[in-house]
This record gives sequence, C-alpha cells and structure tokens, in this order.
Amino acid sequence: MASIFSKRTAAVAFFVLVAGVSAHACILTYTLIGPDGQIGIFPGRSAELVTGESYTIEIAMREDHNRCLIEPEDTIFLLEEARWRVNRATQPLVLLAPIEWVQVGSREFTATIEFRAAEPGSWTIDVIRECTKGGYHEKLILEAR
Amino acid sequence: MKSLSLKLDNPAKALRRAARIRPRVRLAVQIAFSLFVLGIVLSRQAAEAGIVLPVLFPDLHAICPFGAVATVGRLLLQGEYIPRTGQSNLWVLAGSLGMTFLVGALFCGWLCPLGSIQDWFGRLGKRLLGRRYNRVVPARVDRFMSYLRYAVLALVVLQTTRFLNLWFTTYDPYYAMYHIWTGNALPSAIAVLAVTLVASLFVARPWCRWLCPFGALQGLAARLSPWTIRRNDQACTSCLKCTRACPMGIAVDSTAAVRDSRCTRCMECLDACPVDGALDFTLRAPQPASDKPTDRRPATTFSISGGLTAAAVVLVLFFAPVGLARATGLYVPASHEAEAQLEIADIGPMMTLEEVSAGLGMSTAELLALLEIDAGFDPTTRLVDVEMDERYEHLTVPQIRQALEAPDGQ
Repeated sequence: MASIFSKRTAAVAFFVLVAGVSAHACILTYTLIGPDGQIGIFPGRSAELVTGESYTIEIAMREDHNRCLIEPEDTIFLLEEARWRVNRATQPLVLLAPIEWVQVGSREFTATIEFRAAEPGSWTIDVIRECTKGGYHEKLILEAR
Repeated sequence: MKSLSLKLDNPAKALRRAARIRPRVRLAVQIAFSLFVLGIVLSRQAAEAGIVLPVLFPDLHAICPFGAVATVGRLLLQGEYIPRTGQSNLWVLAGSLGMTFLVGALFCGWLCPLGSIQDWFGRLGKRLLGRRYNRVVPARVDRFMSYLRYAVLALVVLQTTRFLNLWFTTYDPYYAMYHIWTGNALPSAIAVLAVTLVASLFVARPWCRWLCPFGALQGLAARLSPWTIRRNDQACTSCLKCTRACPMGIAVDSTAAVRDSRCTRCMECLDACPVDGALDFTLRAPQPASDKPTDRRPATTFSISGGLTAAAVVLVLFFAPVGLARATGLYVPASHEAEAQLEIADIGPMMTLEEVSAGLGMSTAELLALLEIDAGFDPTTRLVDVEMDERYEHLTVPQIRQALEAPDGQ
C-alpha cells in the first residue's frame, strides 16, 4: 500500500506542477504590434509610438475564478479617463474600429484594438472590469513621439 | 523577566501541565482563527450584498501573507497596491515572517486554517488507519517530495510577479476552502483541495509537507529562528517517542535543536516526551528538570512551550504589525476609506453621481445642477457612463472634475 500511495501522491503532485507551468496567466495580457512588428507591452510600463502611425494591441484574457459576472464586452477602455470610442477626433489615440471579443477557450478570450497615434504625448489607457469579486484595473502607458 | 514559561513552584510540574493543556489550547486557537478567516469571507460576501461592515481586512486575500508577493511585485513595478488587498497583506506578511524569524513556523502549526483542517482530517485518518497512519509514504520519498514546495514557491513568485495578479488563486486550496460554497473557486482549486483532504486521511498535512509555497518560505525563515525545539541530551532517554509523534517525520531524537524546514512548531514531540526537561521550545538549550526543590534550575531558557504562552506569542506576533499600522494610521482598511471626505482629485470614473454627491457633502440635485445635467437624470449612473448619453458626450471624468473645481462649483 505504501508504495502505491506514494506513486499516486507523486503523480498528483506532478500533475499539479505541470498544470501550473503550462497554464496561462489569469486576467489580461497585452501585446502591442506596430508597423515594424511586435513591441512588448506590459501594464504599468510605457511603450513608444510614432505619431501618425497605426498600431494594434492584442489582448488575451483568462478568467481566474468561477462564475465571472462581467462579460468581456463590458470591459471598459478609457483613454485619458474618457471612453475610448471609434473615430473620436478629440482623442489623441484614435480608435479605428470597435473592440470585439472572441472566445477561444472555456475561460479564455481575445480582443484586438486598432488605433492611430494622432498626437504626440504620454497617454494612459485604463482597462477596467468592475465587479463585486475584486474586478480588474490596469494602466497601459503609451508615449507618442 | 527571565522566563516566559508558566510560573509554578516546580518547573517539572509546569512542563507536565503544559503538555496537558497545550494540545487543547492549540486546537482552540486553530478553531478560533479558522472562524476569524471565515468571518472575513462572510463580511466580504455581505459587502457584495450591499452590507458594508467595518472590518480590519477587506478580503480573504488581504489576510493572505502570500498575496503580499503580488503586492510587493506590483508596488515595485507600478507603485500601486492590488485593489483587492490594499496594503494589509504586506503587514500580515511582516507579522508572519517576523514571527517565523523569531520563533519558527508557528503560523503553520497554530494558525493556518488549511493546516488545521488537514490536522482534523488526520485525526479521522488515525482512527481509520490506526498505527499505519502517516507511515504510508517511505521516508526517502517523503524527503524528496518535500523539495517540491520550493519548486511551487519559485513558480508562484515567477508567475505572480510576471502577471502582477493573484495567479495562484487558480490552484489555491486555501482560497477554494473558503469559497467552495460561493461558486467563485475554480474546479482546479477545488480538485487540489479535495486531493489534499483525502490525502490527509493517510498522511499528516500533505499540502504543508509537499506543496505549500508559503510553508517553503516559512521553512527557510524558520532555519534562522533563535527559538526552536531543543533536546537535552543528558535528560533524553532515546525512547524515540518524539520522532514517532512528529507529524512531519522529523528525527527529533537525533538533533540538539530542530532546524528542519518542515517543522511547524506543533509541539506534538513535546507532548509525547515522557521525560521532563528533555525537550522544550526555548531560546537556549534546556536543562533537566527535577521534582526536588533543591535541584531547581534557573529559568533562563526563555521557554514558550506553554500552551497559553505559545498562543499569546503566535497571536500577538501575527496581529501586532497590522494592528500597530492600523492604530498609527499607516494602514487604513479599504472598507474605512469610503468614510473619508471625498477630494475632487479622487473622483474616479467608476463612481456614481450619487456617490460623488454624498462624498462631497451635497445633494444629488445640486451636483446635477453644477454639471448642467437634467434633474431627472439617473443618479446611480457611473461617471464613465454619463458621456454615453448624447447630450452629455462632452462630460468626461476630467471635465466633471474641472466643473466641480470651478469657483462657483465649490
């Protein structure tokens, strides 16, 4: 019995570890793609843009708990604390198309944001998912030169 | 004060009495702390239902010292706290790690609710398996598997700092245990909890000894603790009862001071020791005790093995940092922050018009008038949604702040 149990326990422990290593992160990860290819982007760190150029942010979202109360579509994107809306001429980063979410797994979604850097400056995008289970709030800082 | 142990006329009697009451006190502390954590979870759920209670910790994550890893990572990279926890888990981490550096992993043995529930399942396992309980895993395998804790620790630190979120929640049996009835816990975490509890019927504290990342951190810090379980070689009869009693399989009988990172300071070895003075939880090595009044040894070991003493030490050291921070205003729980007067600069996009008016001490009608919004506008609207109304497309949050800061808006 001893050896069987130890093998089983070892198998369970191994499974837990391997599952942990292979799992994607919870919540949201971001990839900024510019005219010259991929530019790394991470919440809280700035990424540089060239004014007049168009860019894409690819977002991957994974729910980290059960019974998520917020649909992906209810994720709020604020640019300088105003809603980031399509072709809003007053915004320094002009959103070129509506943000659409695609479900790619049971708890995984992706979205693509296409925009053009219209004005030079340091611009902050707040990504907010407000709910009673803690929610989510990150800042993406983009520097247009 | 030369000794922290119970002051009785005879040290040997004191040790015997301590061995009698220690397991009961420990059980009481474990139950009380488990209920305390349950209270935090329930108060959080009450908040979700709209009942805000003035609590010290706003969320289960806020009392999780391991959640502090995420908080530290985010503080370093972004200068911000995780909204769910605020800074409370930093104080909790300071308390638990400070305690571990001083007295070892008392948190694990006396407070951790997940450790406690494994102990209680272990009691059932002892009844079912008798002497076979905790002997189903060969010592060599057990030793090897105990190193998995460090792998899990490294993985959690890596993933948590990489993604700046409570990544471990997906697999955390502690989180699952307190959220299983809410539906929030993911099946993966519930599965880890279930496997842990079933394994607890066969092996003492399987999660703690093989997988717990916080236990690994505690174990490393505990190696430095000046207070530890010490064996007096002169008094010891090498009966091996201490080693057999140790739920973590530590060979207590062959060491002068227990430095094994798996030791949770449960003191079951002390409870099992038949010789007064052979084992003690002290700062200095114990001397043999005697019933003879003339043989009384000077009480200079600074023992904290008494049940009540250990309970006092663990509770004071755990709660002192967060309590002091709260008392001095360094830490304000999230549930208390709302009580403060709202500053215009603190107005956020997710606040409702109603909340802003209450925070600024004005009526909703006054606020709507200031913002030149129709009086019939829904006051429960979030500021970020005001601009969704075509009439108020210009009223973004910065515009609202600007309107409120204007001289005639004060």
